[in-house]
Amino acid sequence: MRFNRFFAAALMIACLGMGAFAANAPTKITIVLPDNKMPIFDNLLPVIEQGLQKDGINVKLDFIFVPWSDLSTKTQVMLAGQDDVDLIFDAPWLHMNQMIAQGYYTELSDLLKANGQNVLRTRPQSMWDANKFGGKIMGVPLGLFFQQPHGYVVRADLRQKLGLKPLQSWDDLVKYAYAVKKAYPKMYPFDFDGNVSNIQYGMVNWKMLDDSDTNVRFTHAFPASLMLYYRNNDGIAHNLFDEPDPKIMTALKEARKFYQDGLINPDILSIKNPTDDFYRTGKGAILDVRLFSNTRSVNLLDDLKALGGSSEPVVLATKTKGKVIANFVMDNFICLTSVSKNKELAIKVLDWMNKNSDNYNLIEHGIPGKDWERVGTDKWKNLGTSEFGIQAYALTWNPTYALLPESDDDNAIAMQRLIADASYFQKDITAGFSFDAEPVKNEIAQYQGIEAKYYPALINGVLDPTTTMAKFKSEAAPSLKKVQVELQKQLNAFLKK
Amino acid sequence: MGAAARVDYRRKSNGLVYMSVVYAVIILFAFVCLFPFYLVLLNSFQSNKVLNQEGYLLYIKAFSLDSYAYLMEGKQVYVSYGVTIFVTVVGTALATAITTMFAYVLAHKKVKYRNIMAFLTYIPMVMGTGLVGFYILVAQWLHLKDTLWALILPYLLNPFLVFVLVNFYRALPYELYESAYMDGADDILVFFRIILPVSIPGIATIILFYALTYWNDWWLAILFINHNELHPLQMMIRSLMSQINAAQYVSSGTLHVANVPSEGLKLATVCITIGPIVFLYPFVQKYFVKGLTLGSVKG
Amino acid sequence: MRAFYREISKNRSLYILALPGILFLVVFAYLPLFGHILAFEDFKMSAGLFGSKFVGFKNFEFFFGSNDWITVTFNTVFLNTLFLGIGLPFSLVLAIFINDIRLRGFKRLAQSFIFLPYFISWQVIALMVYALLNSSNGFINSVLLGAGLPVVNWYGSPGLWPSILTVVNIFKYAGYNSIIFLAALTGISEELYESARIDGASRFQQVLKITLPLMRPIFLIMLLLGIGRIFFGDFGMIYGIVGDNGVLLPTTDVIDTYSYRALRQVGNLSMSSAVVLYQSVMGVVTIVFFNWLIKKAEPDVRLF
Repeated sequence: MRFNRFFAAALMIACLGMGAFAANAPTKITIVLPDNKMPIFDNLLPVIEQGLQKDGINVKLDFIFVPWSDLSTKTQVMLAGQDDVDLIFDAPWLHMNQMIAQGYYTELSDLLKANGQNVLRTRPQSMWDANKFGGKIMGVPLGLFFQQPHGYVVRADLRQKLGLKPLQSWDDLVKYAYAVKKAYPKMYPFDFDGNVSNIQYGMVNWKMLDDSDTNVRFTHAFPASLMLYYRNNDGIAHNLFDEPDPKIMTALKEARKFYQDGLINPDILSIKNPTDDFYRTGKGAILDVRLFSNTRSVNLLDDLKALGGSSEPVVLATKTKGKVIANFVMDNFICLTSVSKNKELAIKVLDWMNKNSDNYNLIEHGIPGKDWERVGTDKWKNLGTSEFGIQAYALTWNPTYALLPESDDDNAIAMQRLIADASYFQKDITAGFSFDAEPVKNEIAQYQGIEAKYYPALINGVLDPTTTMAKFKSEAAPSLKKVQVELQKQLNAFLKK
Repeated sequence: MGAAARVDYRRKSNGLVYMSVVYAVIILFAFVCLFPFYLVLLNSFQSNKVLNQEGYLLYIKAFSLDSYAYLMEGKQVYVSYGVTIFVTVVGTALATAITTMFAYVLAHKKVKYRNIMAFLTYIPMVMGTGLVGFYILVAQWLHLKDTLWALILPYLLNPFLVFVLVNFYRALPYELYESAYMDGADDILVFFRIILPVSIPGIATIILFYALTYWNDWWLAILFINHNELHPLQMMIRSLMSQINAAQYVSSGTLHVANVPSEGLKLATVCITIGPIVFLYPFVQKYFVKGLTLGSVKG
Repeated sequence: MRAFYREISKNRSLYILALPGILFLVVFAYLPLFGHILAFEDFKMSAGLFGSKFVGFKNFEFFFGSNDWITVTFNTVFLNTLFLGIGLPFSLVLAIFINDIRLRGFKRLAQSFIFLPYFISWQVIALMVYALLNSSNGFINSVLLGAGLPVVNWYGSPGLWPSILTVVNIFKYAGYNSIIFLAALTGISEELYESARIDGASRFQQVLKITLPLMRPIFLIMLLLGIGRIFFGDFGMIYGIVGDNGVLLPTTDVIDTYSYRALRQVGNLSMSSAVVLYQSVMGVVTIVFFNWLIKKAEPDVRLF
């Protein structure tokens, strides 16, 4: 009884305290991220806000999630309409360069020095150096590694049924695909993505990620198109129309053959969601994923299990040091809008999220003990079904506090340790360069209008490369050439320094 | 007699051929219109496994209510239903009020500027406003972002429907007005007391079209709604069709169920969104042809 | 100006009735037009919409610089012409046929069924189209396969899409249009048919000699309304059904989808605004021209 009275008194004091606190109303910080709310989001948000309060950051976080399909358009209109957004996700493959050119984002150097020491500290200097825009910090680079992982997930049960050994190479993968097609003619084994917004997941784009031989890779001008490409480490931008790289051309022909042989779905360009519609429902057998391990999607795994299927990862990336050339450009950034009225506070929020392992993993995985738990010192285990808490890849990802998934196999762990180490890579001589598209923005716009008709179709085998290339070239060569020349000019100026 | 009978006979056979063509065409086209609905409705009761493996079938191979059960379990469908119904009811009421009054003025012979006004009403139909101007107007100037008004206000006046109504009013007999004016009644009074009651067929038509506009819209929601709590049904379908975490969207917060019936879920949602609006039609149908009749004869 | 005030005060009550509508038009239709100035500037956030540098027609260059503008303009006009040219006559025939049906119950039922597609949104229709045409288990290909015929790769054959889109357009709008025609049909006096019957005209002849000539004005009005929007592609329909499928773009890409893609991929509001402005100007020019033309040919039929 006495205890209860004491409790009531305590409660009253607490209430009064809260009342006093409420007088000092929290400031709203609006954060725009891609995708949608995760199932645990609603429970997680108050915990995050309490944590911020405890550290003296009195804010209310308003997360706006924009579905991937509307992301590019909606964020642009929001920015142009000067919505009161503070932090917003952007990326070079989305429209970061254009948005910077139009002045939507704030330069962060001073703000980070003043209020974002943790943000600065948790990313290696090489990462900051490589991710400037025109020499300025226009967004916080987000990444767990110096380059994103990439691999495939295949149907383990089918592979065993077909009597194949674990797949080790591209040729193995192809053999497996043909075997699957032969045994199950209604299946389309390869689940590449033909959507314009997911063009990185198209076949040739994905396959070339594993070229550690001549290192054919994307240029700073077009982050998801190989029509301009770098090769080796010579700082030269090549043009596929003028110099048909044998590796790319072979891959294009291969894609065409796969398409004709029924390894790629004939509707690939119209399928909205290949992962969900095909691999998950047992109609596909090879999925390309930004992982070295099995897929993290619990729903997907459960659905496969219900069909009597199982998945396993296939990693084709080399383990040899110094073979892969990388410019350390991150795929994702979190930017601060120039209309933000609470710039310092917004950076403080970001800083808090990068402050220590607890805060960082609260954002990424949710409430410890409930949604996830730590395994050993550097691994985490999922206790729930949500893939993550908040879209950390678009908000906080840093290499310092990231934990490895406990479910990953040894190979995946080893690969992730490799790409977290800068010395695994051969540094691209263009690292730190950023392309200023302003002088050729008309040509870029024109070229992209034409490219939409051909490129996604070419890299997924829907169109025949030999005949289509000629047509593509006749329309797009002049504008592409101008972009190439401008890119080379800027590259030369950068390399001279 | 004989000759006349022969003519009669020929006319009859001609009519028979003609009528067979008429019935054949109508039945065929009605079938074409009905078929996709039949397919969607039927397969929404199909088990998800069958849907995944065999696609849409013409018969139910394995009956299942899983999709509906899953949909009803989550809270999003109720939230979205509420939003859509509110927007449709309030939007249609306001739009109908504004349109009937506006069209009446455009149709009224006493109004000197009616032709200029008609022209200025027509221009927006053939002139896009551009996305940015529109967005800034609604979001920044009117501060409607993340409110239901953003889903309502932009559709309050449809020029096409204005013209349908204008023609309807023009066809009303002039004596109607004359007697009223002789009594010295005010224009506003004439409109509400005399014109409105006889215009019900025309107004019913307008109501149906506005209701459809509001019910089927997702574009305004994409632009101006940032939080799931204000997503209308069409936005829900859109999310289901294009999102990786579709199932999580539906249940947003409820417990995870293994084997989300993702394919069936789409169909069930489609059925649930079409249902109510289709049932509106029979109520309006009796006015429908009449409403447009008067409206169209004069052109 | 005096005359203006006099008119307003004379018909005060009427203008009050029109006020909400006028207000709406000013705010939602005319105010946003300021956005078009974007098309002429090099937009910079710091300078704002009204302070950014004026660059004349520079933002139009990317659009008119390649042949794409011809393709998308052609597609827009061509597809709309197909929709109007085939859809409207079909709807008219449908209306005449329905009007000739004497079984009341059947007539009502048929009317309801053919009006049904107008009730559903394009995204649902897109789902239905995909269910019918997809290669993995699409309904039509299954039927073709069952009949021993070769399957068709619908989503890889651009040549088929003007026809597919026309069919889908008719599917959705024929019921709606036919009801407007039907309304006019019921207004035709029965006496006209009666006297024709006495003259011994067959049903078919009655349609040719009486119905069609009388339907001419309303048909022309509908045509005119359609032509007014001939430079406007049906974005909801085409983007919903075709999406970004590059192989189909040569025959399905319309001005609206092009400007939307330009916005999404290029990330430049000014450039996509330029395309929208081009479209608006073409729309206004067309309607003024056709309104003038029809006024000459048919003095009774006009929009304003």
